Amino acid sequence: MKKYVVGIFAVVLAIGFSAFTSVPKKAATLETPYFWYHVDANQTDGPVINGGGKITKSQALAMEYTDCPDQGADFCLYGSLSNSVPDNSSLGTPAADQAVRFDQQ
Amino acid sequence: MKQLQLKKAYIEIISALFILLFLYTAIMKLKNIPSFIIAMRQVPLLHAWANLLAGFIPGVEIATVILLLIPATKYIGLVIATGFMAILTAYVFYILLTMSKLPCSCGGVIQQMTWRQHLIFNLVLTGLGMLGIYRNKKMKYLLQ
Repeated sequence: MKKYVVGIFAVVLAIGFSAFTSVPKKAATLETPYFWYHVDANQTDGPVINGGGKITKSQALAMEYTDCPDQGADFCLYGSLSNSVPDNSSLGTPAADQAVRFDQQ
Repeated sequence: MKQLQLKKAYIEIISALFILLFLYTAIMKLKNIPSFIIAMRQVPLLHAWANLLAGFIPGVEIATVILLLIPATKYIGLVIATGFMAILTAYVFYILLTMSKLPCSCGGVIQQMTWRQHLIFNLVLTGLGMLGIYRNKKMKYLLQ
């Protein structure tokens, strides 16, 4: 039993610390699913990229990562609750979970 | 004899450190898997493997903890823990070189560290682990 004391103490400490460390609220909230559209010059460009149901921003990112990595100043994807947003619709100022950015070069 | 006891104590302490670190980070990752997956997806090298790694990494950490807890497998656990820490150190080094603006995909309070601090932390633990392996080998030699 003596052999296990230090190990068990470490386990108890780990469980104790993890119980008192809270998950950041931002990460803990569920993402709202949207219909996603490509964006060109701050306007929607083309049909919904995800045929079928709505998907979250993370799922949209996974589909488009290499062209649209969510780093930069310009928009490349826009999420809407509607699946019939007309072409060339202006984005305005979408919420963070409703838009994906990239660096236009 | 005293030297042997000191070596044993050192191995116990470093094993306990690894148990504490690995179990804590595994629990924190499992508490918030979506965040962990999102953070890994932002790294080009890991993007395609994010979903698999989300289960694999905490699994390896928990398995290593179990190996470290059992006296008969403590040495194997120490080797795996040190090897895993070396791989994580290489990953942190890669992030520092290529994309240090990325958020850390690690768990809990380690997330508060900068990538540079995280690198030093990992290097120290890898070094301690390697020393533990070396001392364990020397101890086995002395016991023969």
